[in-house]
Amino acid sequence: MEFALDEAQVELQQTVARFCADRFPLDALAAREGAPVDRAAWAELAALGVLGLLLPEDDGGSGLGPLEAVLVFEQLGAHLVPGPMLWTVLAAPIIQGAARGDVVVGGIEASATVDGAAIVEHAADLDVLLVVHDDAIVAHRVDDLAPAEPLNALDPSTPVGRVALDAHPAPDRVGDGHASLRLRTLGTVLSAALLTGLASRALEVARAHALERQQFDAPIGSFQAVKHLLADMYVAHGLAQSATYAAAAVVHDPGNDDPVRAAGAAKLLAADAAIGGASTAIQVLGGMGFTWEMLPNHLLKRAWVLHSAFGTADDHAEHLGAALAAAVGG
Amino acid sequence: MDLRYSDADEAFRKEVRSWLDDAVPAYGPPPPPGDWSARRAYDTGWQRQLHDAGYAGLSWPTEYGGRGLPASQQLVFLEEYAASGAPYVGINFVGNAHAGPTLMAEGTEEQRRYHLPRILRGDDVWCQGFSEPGAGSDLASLRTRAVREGDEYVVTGQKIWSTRAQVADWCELLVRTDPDAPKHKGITWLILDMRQPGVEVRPMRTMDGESHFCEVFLDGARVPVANRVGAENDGWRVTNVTLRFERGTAFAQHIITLRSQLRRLVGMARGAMGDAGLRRRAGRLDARVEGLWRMTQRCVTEAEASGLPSPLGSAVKLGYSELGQDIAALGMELLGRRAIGTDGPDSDDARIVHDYLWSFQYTIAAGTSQIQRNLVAERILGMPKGR
Repeated sequence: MEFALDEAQVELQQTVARFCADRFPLDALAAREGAPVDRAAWAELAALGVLGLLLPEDDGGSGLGPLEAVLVFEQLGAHLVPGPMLWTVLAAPIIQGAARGDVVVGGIEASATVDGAAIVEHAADLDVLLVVHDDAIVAHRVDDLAPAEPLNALDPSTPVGRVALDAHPAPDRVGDGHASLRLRTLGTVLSAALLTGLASRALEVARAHALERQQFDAPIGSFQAVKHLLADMYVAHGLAQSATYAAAAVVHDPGNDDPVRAAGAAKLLAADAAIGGASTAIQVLGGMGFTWEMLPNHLLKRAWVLHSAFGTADDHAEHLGAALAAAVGG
Repeated sequence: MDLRYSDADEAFRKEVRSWLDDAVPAYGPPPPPGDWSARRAYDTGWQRQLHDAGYAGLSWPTEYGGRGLPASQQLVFLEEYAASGAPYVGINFVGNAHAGPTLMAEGTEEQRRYHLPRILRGDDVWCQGFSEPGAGSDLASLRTRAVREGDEYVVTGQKIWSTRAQVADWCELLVRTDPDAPKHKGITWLILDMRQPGVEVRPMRTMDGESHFCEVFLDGARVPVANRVGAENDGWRVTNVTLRFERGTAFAQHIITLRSQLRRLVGMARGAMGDAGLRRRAGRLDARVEGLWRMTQRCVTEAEASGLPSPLGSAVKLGYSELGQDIAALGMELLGRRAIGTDGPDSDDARIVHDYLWSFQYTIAAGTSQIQRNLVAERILGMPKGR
């Protein structure tokens, strides 16, 4: 039993962090608002191997494992990198061209459709839209669908549109129930990684402000009321990150553990850490925290976007509770 | 990153399990609550069995009579120990987890040679004399006075929250030896013989109705200078060595206990788990157990690699303290009206009520959650001290 990253993993983490800081600087966040997927940046993510993370090397991918993918997605979250990276990475093994960045893939779960339509992230930029059912994954070519109806986006860097799916009744079946479960489990873990990244950024922003901001002739971080808020963020982030790394390890090699339980616990803890952490960061930054210009509200909005996919915290809580009851003979 | 136990770990697990499978049922049930001398005999007798079977001092280095096991096997042992229903040897806790490790780090050769084997065998019981009525979170403000008279210190003052002091042989005692020095600089760490005139122990009844803790009144108690650990007035540093052990791997045991407690409650709830609200609540608690267990594995790995306790320890302590209270509170709600009248102190329901009342100590003992938050903010996040 060893819970630690190796040298190559730490290096991967640092490489991706540098790339994101350089290519997606947080002080230029305004430029990303409402912007379509930046195809040049997308090609760079592909070239860096991010989009083909989980695709075997023989198929032109990076051939890395779930833990490496988690480390990369944690950084993508912490830098609020825009675009449907998560779905594209998950789709790479089943959709030609996704790993190379030629085909931009989005997706939804079948349960998220209402009256034959679904709210889809980055709808206007997609080439392929995956729909995940319990027993199958199907792929729509977006050209076959009616144009998405643009919606008022919660997160300014995640444009969304309503897509009517019933108008196109015969999508390609690209995966079976087994593939569906695998995609969902990985999607749950990688969403948890993005959320963990948001939580770490929220903590960092709040921490920096608490050290710098002076009131009553002292940094506000010297007051216990502020210290305790930061300590709670630290604990929530630590739980989320530990559970997320562990979930990736369990997905890779289950041993006696259940990957679905590990993934669900990670997503639940990460959603709490990100939404709670971003909310606390707004409070720590005070009036400035309430402004559009500062980072915390953007972290919060992205957190809610991620919370809504691959199972909400309540969905996972209910599943974990039911599984526990079943395990102890309920 | 490899969360699976190695073949060697699994072989160790088999060995431990097979020993526990025989030894636990053979040892019999614990004495009724409140009979502390019977409890002492029960706990020390079990410690002796652990010792004779080679399961005492698993984390202690072999040179001091321990097993020097890798952290992963300590976790395996704790898992199997909890699953077997073996007794929690509370009486030996201070010796095993505090006094022993402190003597290993700071004691003289003579102190180690005498005390360490006696702790491991369960011959002697230790208690802690740190807190005072006026020195809780601000431990360094302690006032119990020790004055040197020849080869002895003469000690006068009052200690509180000394666990099982009513049956202890020795006390790890913090005293003030230089009242004029700044408060951290005038403290000394002594080994006090509890069996002497001038030491009076009064058990305190806590909100669960039991008397785990005591007040200790010291009036001219004597401690030979040879029983001093570390230099005179250097006790605060020695103390921090002890406190460091308190934030180490000992948490794993708490988390394993909480996991079993949650499973027991959900098992008991059965029909009630048809309610979606209750399923979610239990599921959230289960996710927190999972997160804390992973954080503990991480702490243990970090501590083993660096030889120092991981800073994540304070976060684990904060996390399990609140989780322990939340799980216990779920038990009360599951009981409903049954909580107000249970079938005798040994019934399952009475145990749930007791666990709930006991759970209030989690966020107070071993550093309140408020102090832990200060530590996290100051030591890990770098916030300025004070206020």
